[in-house]
Amino acid sequence: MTSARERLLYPLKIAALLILGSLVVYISFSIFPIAYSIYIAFTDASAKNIAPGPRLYELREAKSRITEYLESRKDYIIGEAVKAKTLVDETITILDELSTTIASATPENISVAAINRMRGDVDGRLLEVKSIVVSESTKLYLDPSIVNPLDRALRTLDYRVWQPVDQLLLYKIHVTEEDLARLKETVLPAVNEAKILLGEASQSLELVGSNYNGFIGRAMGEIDRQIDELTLHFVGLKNFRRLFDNPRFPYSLFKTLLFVVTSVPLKMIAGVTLAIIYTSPLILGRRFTRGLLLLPWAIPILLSVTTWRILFTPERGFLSSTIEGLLGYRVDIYVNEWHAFALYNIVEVWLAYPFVMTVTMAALASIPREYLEAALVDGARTFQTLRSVVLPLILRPLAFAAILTTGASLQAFMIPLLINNGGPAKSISLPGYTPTTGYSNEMMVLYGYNRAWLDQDYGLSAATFLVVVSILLVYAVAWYYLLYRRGWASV
Amino acid sequence: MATSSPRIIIAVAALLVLIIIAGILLVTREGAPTTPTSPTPTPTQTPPITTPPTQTPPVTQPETVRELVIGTSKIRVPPDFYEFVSKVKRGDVRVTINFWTAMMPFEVKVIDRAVKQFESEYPGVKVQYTGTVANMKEAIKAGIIAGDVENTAHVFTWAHDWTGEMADGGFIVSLSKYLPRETIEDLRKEYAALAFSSGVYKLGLYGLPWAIEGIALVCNLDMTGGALPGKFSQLEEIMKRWYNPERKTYGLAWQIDPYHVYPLITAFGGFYYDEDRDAVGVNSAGAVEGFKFLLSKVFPYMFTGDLGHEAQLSIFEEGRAPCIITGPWNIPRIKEKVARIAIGPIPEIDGMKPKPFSGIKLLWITKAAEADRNRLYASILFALWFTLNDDVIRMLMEEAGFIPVKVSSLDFLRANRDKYPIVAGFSMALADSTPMPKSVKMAKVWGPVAEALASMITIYNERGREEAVASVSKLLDEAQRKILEAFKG
Repeated sequence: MTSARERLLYPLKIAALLILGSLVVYISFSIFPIAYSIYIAFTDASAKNIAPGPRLYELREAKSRITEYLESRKDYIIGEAVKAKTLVDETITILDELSTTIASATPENISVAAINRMRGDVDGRLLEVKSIVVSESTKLYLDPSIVNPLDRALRTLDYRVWQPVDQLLLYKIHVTEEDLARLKETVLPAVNEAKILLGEASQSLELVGSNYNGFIGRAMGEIDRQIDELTLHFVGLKNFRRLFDNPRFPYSLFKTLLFVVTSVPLKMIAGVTLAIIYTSPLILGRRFTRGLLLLPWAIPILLSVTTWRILFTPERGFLSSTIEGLLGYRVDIYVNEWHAFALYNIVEVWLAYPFVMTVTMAALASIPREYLEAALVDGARTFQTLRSVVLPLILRPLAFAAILTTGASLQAFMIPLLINNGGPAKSISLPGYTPTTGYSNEMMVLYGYNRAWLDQDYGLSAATFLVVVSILLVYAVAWYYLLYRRGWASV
Repeated sequence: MATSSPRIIIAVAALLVLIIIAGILLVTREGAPTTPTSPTPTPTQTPPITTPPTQTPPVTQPETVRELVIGTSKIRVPPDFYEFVSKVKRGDVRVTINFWTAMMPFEVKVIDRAVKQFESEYPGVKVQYTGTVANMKEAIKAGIIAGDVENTAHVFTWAHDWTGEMADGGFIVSLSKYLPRETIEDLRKEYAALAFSSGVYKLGLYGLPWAIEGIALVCNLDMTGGALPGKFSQLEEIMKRWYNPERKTYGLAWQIDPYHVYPLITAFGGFYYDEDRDAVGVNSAGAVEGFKFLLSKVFPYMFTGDLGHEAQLSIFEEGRAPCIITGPWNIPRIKEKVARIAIGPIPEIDGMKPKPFSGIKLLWITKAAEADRNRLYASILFALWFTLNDDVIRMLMEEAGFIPVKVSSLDFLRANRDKYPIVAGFSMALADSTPMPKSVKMAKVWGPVAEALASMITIYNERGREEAVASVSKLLDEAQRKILEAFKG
C-alpha cells in the first residue's frame, strides 16, 4: 500500500502518462522505422509500390462497384463501343486513302492541302474515339485490348506520320523528288502499322458488344493488375539470394574489408605519430599548429572530399599533374581501380587522423611525468622509452580509437561516392561466380545506396543494408566479448 | 596539455558552428527570390492583348462549349470553366494555388515574372511560386500521400518522363477528365505534335507542354573557321585538325553517358527501350554499331581520361575543343567564355540521322488541386495560360533560352531565326528527336547501360581501341540480360 504522501509525491496518473508518452515516442520513432526497414528487405519494393499514391485507394473502391456498374449500363456502353468502332473503321479507310495519295505523289501533283485535310479527318475521329474510351461513363479505358492498340496507333501517327509530314512538306516551298522518296520511305510503313493497330482496336471494340461478359472480365482483370502493381509483395529471402547470386556484392564486401585492412593502420600510424610529435615541447608554436592539424575535422566532408577529387582530376588536377611531371607516373582515378582505391585511403586518413590524434594526446597527457623521468634516469633511449613505457600505457585508449575508426571504414560511403561513385566499371570476377560488369570500388554502403537511387530497387537496397548492419553487429559483439568477457579491458 | 585539448575541441566546435551559420545564411539568401511576397509585382512586359471574350458564342458552336481567349489563343472550353475564368478576371472569386519548379536561379527569375503577369491578368488567382524545390518528385508524392492539399504543389513542371510514374500512382490529374473533346481538339492544334503527344499517357492528357530540351552540336565558330559541320565527315576533318593531346587540345568535347550517346544509337537504328512494343533493344544491332562507332570514330579525338560533365565542358569553354555535344542548360555558362557559337543538329553519319533524346517540359496538375473545384480550375487556367501565351513564351525564350513548342511561337522563331540563333539552332536540332520513354520501366534500363558503357570506357583507356570495340557486343548482351531480369522482378 502506498501512503498518501507517496501518492502525492509520485502521482500514478502522471507516471502513467509519462510512461505512455515515452512508449508512443519509442514505438513510433524507434521500433517502427527499424521494423519497417527490415520488412522492406523482404519485399519487392520499388518506386511505384513503396509509397502508393491515391490511385491505389481509387482502384480498390472501383473494384467493389465495377461489375454492378457495367451490368447496369450495358446497353449504353455497347452503344458507345459501336460508335467508337465505326469511327475507327472510318479512320482506317482515310488512312488507306492517305497511303495511296502519298504513294502516288510526285513533286508536281502533291497536294499538301489534301494531306492536311485527311489529317484533320483522322485526328478528329480519333479524338472522338479517345473521348469515348477514356470517359468515366463508358469505362472502356479499363479494357487493355482496346487501350493498348489505340494508344500505340495514336503515337505512331503523331511521331512517325504527322511529324515527318510536317518536316518534309509543311515548311517547304518546293517539294523535291528526294523529299518525297524520304516521305514514302518513312511514312508509308508507319501508316500501315497504325492501320493494323487500329484494326486490333476495332476488333476489341466489337467484342464489347458480342461478348459483354468478356469485357467485364478484362476490366476486372485490369483493375486487379493495377492494384497488384501498386502493392508491396512479400518475397521471402529473394533479395538476399539476389545479393549473392552474382559477384558484385561479394566483391563489394571484399573491397570494403580490404579498405578496412589498409586504411585503419594508416589512420592509426598517422594519428599517433602526429600526436607524439606535437606533444613534444620542442616544437615551436605547437598549440597553434596542433589546432591547425585538427582542421580536417571542421571542414564539411562534402567540401573536403570534392577538393581532393579536384586535386586528383586526371590531366588537370594539381596533384595528379605534379606527380606526372615529377615522377612520370600517370595517376588516373577514373580509369584505374587501384589509383582510385589509393585515393580513398589518402582521403580517409586525412579525414580521420585528427580523431586518433586527439585520443592519443589525451592518453599521453595522463602518463605521469615520474615514469618518463625514471626511464631517463635508468638510461633508456627515446625509442626505448616510447616502446616500453609510453606505448603500453596508452594502448587501451588506442584500442578504442582503432575500434571506432574501423567502424567508420566499414561504412565508407561519402568518399567513394564523391570521388568517382565507386568506379571505374569493369568486369568483376570472383572464384565460383560468372563474371559480371559492375563498379569496382562500390563499397558496401554505397552499393546499397546505388541500388536505391540508381536502380530504384528498394527491396534489394534494404537487404544490402541489413547485411551491412549484421556485419557491424557481429563486429561490435566480438569486441564486447573480447574486451569485457575475456578481460582485455582490465589489462 | 590536459587543459589545451578541450580548448582545441571548443575552438573546433566554434568554427563548425560558424560554418553552419554561414551556410544557413547563404542558403536562405539564395532562397529569397522564391518568396512570393515580393512587394514589386509590376510586370515589365505589357500584358498580352486580352480582348474580353464576347458573351455570345458563334451559332455553329455546340452549346456545351464556349470560346475563350487564353494567353494568345482561342480555345473552346466548358461553360462552367468559362464562368470561372470571368469571375477570377473580375476578382469575384479568390483562390490560391501553389506552383513548384526545380530550376536554376536565372530561370526562376524569368518564370517568377510570368507568374506575376498571370496574377495581374487574373486578380482572383494568387500563385504561390516556389522556384527551387529540392527533391521535387518525392516532395509532391509525400504531400499528396499525407493529404496536405494546402502546402503541396497544385501545378508543377518537369520533363515528360515522369508522366508514367506520376500518372500510374494517381499523383497527377488527367485533364481529359475535366476538359471536353473540343478543348482537347483545340489544344492539340496549338502545340507541335511531338510535344503534345508527350503529355498523353494511356490516352489521357496529363500535361501541357511549354518547352523542349535535348542535346545538339555546339561549335566555337572561331575554331571551326565559321563552319558548322552538317555531316560526320566534315566534323571528322575539324576533329583531326584540333586533336593534339600534347597541347591538351581535342577534337570534340562530349559528356559520355547513356543519355548523351543515344543519338549514335538511333543513327544506326538502335534503341534502349521501346515502350510501344515493351521491347528492350540494348543489344540490338543498331545499338552495337552505335557504341562501336563511338569507340572507334569519336573517342580517338576526345580526352577520355575524364568524360564527366565538368571536365568536358571546361575543355570546350577553354577553347581546347572546337565543338561540344550538349544541351541548352549549359549555354549560359558557355556564352560567358566563348564569343561566337553556332548550334546545329548532330551531324549525319553517311546519310543516317542521329536522333537525340528529348525531354518536353510539361505543366501538370496534381491530385492536391482536385478536391476543390475552384482550385482545380485555377490550376488548369494557369497551365493553359502559361503554355498558350506567346508573349510569355517569347520572354522565356529570350531571357532564359527555353525552346518553345507552341506552333505560333515556332513560326515566330522560324521567321526570326537570325535574331535567336541559339534557340533556333536547338529547335531545329530537336525537331527530329526521340522523346524519352514515359514508362517507369526506364529506371531499370539506365543502370545496366551505364555500367556497360563505363566498362567500355575503362577497357578503351586501359587496353586500347581494338579491345574496347571487341568488348561491345558481350557487354551489351550482358546489360540486356540484366534489364530483362529486372523487368521480370
